[in-house]
Amino acid sequence: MLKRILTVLIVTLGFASGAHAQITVSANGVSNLVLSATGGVLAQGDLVRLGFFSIPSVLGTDNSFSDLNSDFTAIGEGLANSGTLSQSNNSGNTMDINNFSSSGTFLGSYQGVLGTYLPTGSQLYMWVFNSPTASSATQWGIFDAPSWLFPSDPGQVTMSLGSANISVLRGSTNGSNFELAPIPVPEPGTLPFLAGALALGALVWRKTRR
Amino acid sequence: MNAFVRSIPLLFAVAGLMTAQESLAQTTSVTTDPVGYNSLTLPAGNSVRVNTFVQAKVFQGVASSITSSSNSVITVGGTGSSLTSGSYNETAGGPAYYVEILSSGSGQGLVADVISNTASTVTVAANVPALGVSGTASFCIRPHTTLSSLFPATNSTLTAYVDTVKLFFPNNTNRTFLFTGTGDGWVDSGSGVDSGAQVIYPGQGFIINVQAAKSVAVMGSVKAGPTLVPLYTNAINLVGTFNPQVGGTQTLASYNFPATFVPYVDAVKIFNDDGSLQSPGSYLSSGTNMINAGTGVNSDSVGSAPTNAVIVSVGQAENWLMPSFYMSGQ
Repeated sequence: MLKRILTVLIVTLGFASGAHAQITVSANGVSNLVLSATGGVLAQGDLVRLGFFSIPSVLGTDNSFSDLNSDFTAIGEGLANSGTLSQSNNSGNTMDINNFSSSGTFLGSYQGVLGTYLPTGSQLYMWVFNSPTASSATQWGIFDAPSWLFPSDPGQVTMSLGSANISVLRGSTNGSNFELAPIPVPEPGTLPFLAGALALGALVWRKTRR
Repeated sequence: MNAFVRSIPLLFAVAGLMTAQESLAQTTSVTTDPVGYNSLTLPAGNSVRVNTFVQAKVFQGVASSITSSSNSVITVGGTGSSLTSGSYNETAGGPAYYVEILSSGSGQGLVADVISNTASTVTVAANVPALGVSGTASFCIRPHTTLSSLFPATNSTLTAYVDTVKLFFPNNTNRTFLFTGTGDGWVDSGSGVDSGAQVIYPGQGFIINVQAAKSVAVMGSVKAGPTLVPLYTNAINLVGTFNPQVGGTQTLASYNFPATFVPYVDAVKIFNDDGSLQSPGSYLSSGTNMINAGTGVNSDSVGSAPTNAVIVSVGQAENWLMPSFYMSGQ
């Protein structure tokens, strides 16, 4: 019996150590597109991020990129164990709109994502921007679908905008396509007002102290 | 001369490649399939493989009616077409036999587990008419391939308490089974429960892990006609073909995935054959061709050995229509 248990243990460990398996995460918007907030096609090079949000409840309302980014675990993007990008017309490590079949389309995949990079079954999200860099974007859209789950090793997942039952967490639909949402930023005209209010508050505070 | 024709001498044509009629104990005539022999060449480590054969038919007949219900009842038509009551009943361990639809049409190749049978009916675990099968379809019954029928305890190539087979299930679970070389031949590697009767469904692939490189002989009946293989969402669908070709390669185009796949949604992943489980790529359907999921390059000609399985992921449950790789007789 002891021999059997030891053997099973050795085999199990052998299976684990010998299995340099990997997960593939693919994404595309070919049959269905993601468009700008005004319905135009996105430009080649605009950013497409794939990954996991730890606090999905705020995705529809939070306008702070830094807040959302801190809750986001990206696939690829040069992060360790998160896969290597394969995408035509793109030598970087983050997926983008690559005009795969026509303007505004994209297709690519991350190979070699470690099976333990995210818990199996984690919901994956597609976060699309109207800019090559997230920090300079004025619009973004966030989407998910029931089938976009982090697979068990050595599986794969395809995050297609043609997938069934896509949820628009930020943005909107436009026929069979999807649109980004404009992200509000403090308007320049409101900044002097805010500065004045702060100065007035400080003055009142000083007079009160005297 | 194509590769398959070249390989025919290597098929162990016990029954001959020409179909023949034979009479079994039951009075129904059964069209026999040719018997094939193949060798799974396995590097040390993990390999994705598929059984390229099926078990021989034990019954073949024509239905006089098929009920439309979640467990369809197939009434066997024809004079003298009687069954031995209960002979194909499922066991405590699960289904032991399955019905395969032979008639042409959208339901051709459908596989449904047999729940029970009487002298004149067979009850199966599927709503058969809902899948496009007529009430007068021809069908056959085959025993399921199991771990012990594919790799019996007497297999002298596998290493007892070392070599394993891993199967994936529709609910996205998997189990690993350990070859024992005695008794049932296989046990669950975790619980130690005898598992020789574990079913390997038609077209279902597996990961086999061997400590040292070896070739394992497998044999069975060469299957003619297409086969419907269910694909499940959010699961690892490890599937392969019934291509009995010995050696050689087949290509992604051989799988006929574009006929089933939702373009740019459903995908297939292949593996290097070096024991590492590393994948050289994933591929999508463009609607007419298979393309690289990363680069979009046409990949119809990407090769994969006939005995190798691939992983398919789908956005919605569907049936893959595996084409026939042997065209003569059913």
